[in-house]
Amino acid sequence: MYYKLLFFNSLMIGTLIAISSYSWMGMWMGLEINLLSMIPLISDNKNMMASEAALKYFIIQTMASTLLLFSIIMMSMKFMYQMNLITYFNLIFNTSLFIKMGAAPFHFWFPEMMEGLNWLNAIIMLTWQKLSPMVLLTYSNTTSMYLILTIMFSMMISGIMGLNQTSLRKIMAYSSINHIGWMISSIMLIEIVWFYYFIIYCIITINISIMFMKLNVFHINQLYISMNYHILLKLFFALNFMSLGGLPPFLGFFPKWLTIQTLIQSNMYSIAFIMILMTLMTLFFYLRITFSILLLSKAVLTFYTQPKINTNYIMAFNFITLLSLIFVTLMFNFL
Amino acid sequence: MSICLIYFVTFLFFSVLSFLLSLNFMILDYSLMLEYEMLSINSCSIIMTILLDWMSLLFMSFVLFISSMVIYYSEEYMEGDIYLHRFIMLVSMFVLSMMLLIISPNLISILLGWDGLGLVSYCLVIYYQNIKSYNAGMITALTNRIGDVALLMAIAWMMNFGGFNYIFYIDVYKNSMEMYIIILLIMLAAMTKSAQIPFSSWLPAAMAAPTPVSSLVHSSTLVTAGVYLLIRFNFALTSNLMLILLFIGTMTMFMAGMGANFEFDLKKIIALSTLSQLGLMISILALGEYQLAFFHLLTHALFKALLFMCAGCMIHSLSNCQDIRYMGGLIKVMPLTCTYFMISNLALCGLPFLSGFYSKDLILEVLSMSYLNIYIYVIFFFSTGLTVCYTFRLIYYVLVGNFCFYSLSKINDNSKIMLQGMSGLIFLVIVGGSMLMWLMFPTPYFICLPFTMKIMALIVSFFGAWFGFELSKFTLNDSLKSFYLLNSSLFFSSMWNMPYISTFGLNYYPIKLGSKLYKTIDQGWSEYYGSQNLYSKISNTSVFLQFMFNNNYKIFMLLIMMWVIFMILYI
Repeated sequence: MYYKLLFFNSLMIGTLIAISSYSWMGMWMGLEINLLSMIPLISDNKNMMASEAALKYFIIQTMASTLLLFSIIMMSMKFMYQMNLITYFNLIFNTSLFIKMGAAPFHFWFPEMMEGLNWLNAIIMLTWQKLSPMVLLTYSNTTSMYLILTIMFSMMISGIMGLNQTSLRKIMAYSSINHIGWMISSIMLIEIVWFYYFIIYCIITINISIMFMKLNVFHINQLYISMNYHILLKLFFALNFMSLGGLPPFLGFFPKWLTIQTLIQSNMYSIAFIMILMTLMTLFFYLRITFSILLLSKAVLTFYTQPKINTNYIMAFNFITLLSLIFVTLMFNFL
Repeated sequence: MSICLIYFVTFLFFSVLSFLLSLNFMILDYSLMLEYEMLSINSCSIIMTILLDWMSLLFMSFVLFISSMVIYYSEEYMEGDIYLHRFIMLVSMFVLSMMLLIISPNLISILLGWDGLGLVSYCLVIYYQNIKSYNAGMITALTNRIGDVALLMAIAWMMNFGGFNYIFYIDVYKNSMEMYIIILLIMLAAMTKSAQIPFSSWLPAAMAAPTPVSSLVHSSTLVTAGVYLLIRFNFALTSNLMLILLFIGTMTMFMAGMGANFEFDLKKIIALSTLSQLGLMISILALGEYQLAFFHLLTHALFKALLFMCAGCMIHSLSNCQDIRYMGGLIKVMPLTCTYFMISNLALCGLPFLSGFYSKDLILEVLSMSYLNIYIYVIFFFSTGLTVCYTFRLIYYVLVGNFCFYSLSKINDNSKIMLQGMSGLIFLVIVGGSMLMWLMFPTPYFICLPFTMKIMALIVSFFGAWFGFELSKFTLNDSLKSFYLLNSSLFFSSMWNMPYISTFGLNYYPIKLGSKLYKTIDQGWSEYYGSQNLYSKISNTSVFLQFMFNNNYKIFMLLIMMWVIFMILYI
């Protein structure tokens, strides 16, 4: 399994190349490196689901890369003197990036693929793999109707589809689609807001997913048993979901706050309204998970021993991140 | 030393003290007013005022005396009750509220006592925790609440005058529109507290309270609070209001006297008799004789408290049976209690030289002297006859005749503490009337009447006694006379349908509307356009989209390609 170490490094390097390259070709190249090193990380010869996920990921990302390359080449051609032609290729470019990050009308591969991953890969997919397409999106930034449509689709699809899921990986996938919508809206206006959003989103998602990974749960019903042996962890888990939903005393409120304020300052009231409204559905299924865990009477099995796991560092990290809203708010003055 | 004894001694001491003070104040024609200014907002000062004159001190001494006797009495009546302490505390709170009401000539501090009375009487009515008590308590509390609100509104109106000491403004009441409204509201409050006609239904319902409570609260003190308030305000009543009050008072008197003739619950009969006497007080007050109203208030408090205590003694012995049809011949088994019962009953009827005689006879004669119409005259005397009528009916059912309770019963006159408590009152029931008349009226009323009018009270009393005996006489093979006129009996026995008016009559349509609204709006349209339908729409959409997105990988990729090609075609 040592090859995974290699590919993990090249995954990082690919993203870094993509986001720090000066030319479109370099960016494409970085994305390709990133893609090709993700495949071996996903694949697992003992698990058919993982292989299927790897294949799906490969196909869709290849298609996106193709489109990306196509639009890059077309944009750099000499006959592109008319602005409206550039707009069309820009749309194709953005399409390819949306496919890569899994934004809503092009999201269909994402939850299906997530279903085949283990939690570590899921963390990578939910966080790191979003980075390069988003940074590339900031470079091709146009406040177009296309972006707004994508935001609205992301909001609606994530809220509606997430309601019906029992698989935690799919729920996390739809939650990520929702946050992609928010992040695109912040990219559209101020990039630094996107930066904060992305960092905080990554922190919260990693926190939650690490808990899932440690407890080895993949579906909602498994939470009822697993969490009961770690009461304090259960509390932190619930608070993390509230943070992810953007409830005020927690950290997750901060990026939403910034985004909403940015949107309102740019006179985009209706899109802000729609986003807030649609996020309520996401919040609903978050709370459905947490409330049922917190409030239902717990069943502790006498002769069942949960493997002892070390939760100390998870708790410490959670404690800091959950309650750091004030500090982040203060810090924002100095950054 | 039990809690009952402690409070008995305390109250008795203060009763004697305030009685002596009252005598002193009366001799000196002296009154004392203490003011403590709490705060002053917008040139409107909020003041805690205490007014001590012979009237308030005398009333206070009577209330304290009766309550001390009742508390002493309840040591045996409430024996074995695990919440006895709470009971005594509640009664003491009640006495405290009553004191506040009596001594304050200030609307805000009156409200303090007034609300205290309402709350404590609610707590006392629901003391036995069952559905009946709960309903009775609710109707008591809510009816009294109307009066509280009226008083609050009067306070709000009084802010125009920059102070709440009504006693200073009593002269201007008749001249100012605002004061007219205030006095109207005060009248409303007094009517609710004294259970005058539209608000009468709570008084018989409040008999769900323990009997000592009925004795103290619902006969002698709480219900007279309204009368006392009106006595304090009597100079402010304009002639129109006086006429309204007179009409309402006489109607209440007549209604309650009629109702008592059809009632079979021992305590309810006495409650209706209380209501009748309250009507009498209100109506003589409305004739302008506030001193007579106060006189009757005091004597009535004495004999009615004793009457209730005797009734409680009987109920206690008859293992909580209150129906007078089960009683009968009690004079043989409880002679002393029945003697007391008889004395207080006769005092109620106005038998000469018992305490009721002095006030009642004086009221009737003053009425005869006045120049009011024949309706008022007739209804006054008819109600006096009715009083004697239901009293003799009660005597017929309870004291004489055959013993109608279970064969195995333990009825005796050995309840020592209760008898002691009653004996404390019997002296005053006998001599209280003459004593008070000598005290309160240094110059006697001048009565000049023709012979027939003079003995009219006696005549109606005799006729009342006779009818009371005849109408309630029942034998084995004959039904009651009242059954021949069943519908009118039902009407009169149910207080002219007043309980229905103040319960179902009030809430029938709102509750019906509420159920309609609940069905159509809450469970209907707002669910349809709101939560449930929205939720089902969203989850149906979710299911549909789930179906669409499930394993259609190829199609989706095709769609993306079509989108790209579509875009290229536009170039």
